[in-house]
Amino acid sequence: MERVKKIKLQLEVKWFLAIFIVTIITLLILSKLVSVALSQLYQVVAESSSENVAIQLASLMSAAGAVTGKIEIEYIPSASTLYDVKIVNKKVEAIAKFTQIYIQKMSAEAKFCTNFTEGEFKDVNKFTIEKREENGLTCYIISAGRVGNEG
Amino acid sequence: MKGDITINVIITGLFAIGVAVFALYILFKIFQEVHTLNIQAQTERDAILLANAIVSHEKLVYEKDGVKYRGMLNASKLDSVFLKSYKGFNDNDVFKNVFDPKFWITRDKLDLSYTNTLSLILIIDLDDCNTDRCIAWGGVTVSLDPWELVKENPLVKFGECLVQSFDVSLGHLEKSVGACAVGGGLGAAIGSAIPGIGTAIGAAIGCAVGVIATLWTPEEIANCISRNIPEPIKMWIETGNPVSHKGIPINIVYGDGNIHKGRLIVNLLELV
Repeated sequence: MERVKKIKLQLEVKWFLAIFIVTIITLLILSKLVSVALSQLYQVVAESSSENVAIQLASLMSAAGAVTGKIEIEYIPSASTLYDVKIVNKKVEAIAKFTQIYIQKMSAEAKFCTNFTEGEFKDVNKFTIEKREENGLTCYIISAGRVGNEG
Repeated sequence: MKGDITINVIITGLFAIGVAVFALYILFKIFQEVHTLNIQAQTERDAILLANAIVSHEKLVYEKDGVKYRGMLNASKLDSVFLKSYKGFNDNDVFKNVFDPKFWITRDKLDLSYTNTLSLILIIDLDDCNTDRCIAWGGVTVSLDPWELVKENPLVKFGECLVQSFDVSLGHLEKSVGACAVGGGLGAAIGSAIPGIGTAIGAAIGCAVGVIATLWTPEEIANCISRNIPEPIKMWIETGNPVSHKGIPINIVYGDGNIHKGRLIVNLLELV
């Protein structure tokens, strides 16, 4: 009876160790895969985030003022993410509409120093920033559209 | 027996905790990396963009045969937009006027500004600047949004931060009551000694001071100040230099055709 108990205990320990080692190895592999996937996801989110798009757009709108003649700048922050953008009171307000439900939709704003007319664009991901002269006056125009969206 | 805590259960539990901690560590590490990607010296960037827009602005640049020359500013145009000083900005009267709202540059003269940001623009003629005489121009552009100014004001945000960090624990309540008692006692003693105040008013003032003094810890107040201090001021304190203090190089073209080397300095003070 004692011997049977001892063998049973040894077997249990062996099984436990085997499962433990397999779990550790699987977890190590998974953690590597998960961290790579998460890094890529966060990189995409950071690049196409509302904050980044608002800052980039506002900077490009300010930079348009740095030319003396005319300029046309095209900006496509992401081919797969759409944005709601509002130009009001010398500020850009952007909301990235990520299709993934687990990414929170946060708005962000950034200031620009030039004289763009106020406007609002919904579900866009391509922006054209223009500076040109009309009848001796400088005009700043922003237009928006959609490009290569699958969603 | 069912419900017994065996070695297996303990090891499995510890293992599960280890896995959870490891997962959290990875998540935080990635969040930190992403956050670092987005940290930028926004004010510095805004100042550089504004300076570049100024050196290309049609109301300031030198123009010949219909061609506008970027980076070459027309001295007569500068005279009409900015305040001019012959003693640089050692001339206190002119420098004071630059900040006077009466002399702020209006939109019809120069339409470059950021919302709720004071943009101080200084132009110095380096070829005509010595101890006795220094030609310089200065001005402030601003475009105010009063509603945002009130809503996002650092003082309002500082107040919100204090309210959020207010401690409502029993320990804190006891501390406040103690401080009220001590302050009240001291106030009563002082009040009784000063004619016209009296013990009761002195005690009330003392108690109020005691309670206010224990509402927040110095760390909480320091944290709220640090979180709400405008970025350029923070940068000024940390580096000892205002934003874009070195400026960008320009040329100044005078009516007689002389071209002088100059410097355009843009400093931004974001009000909100």
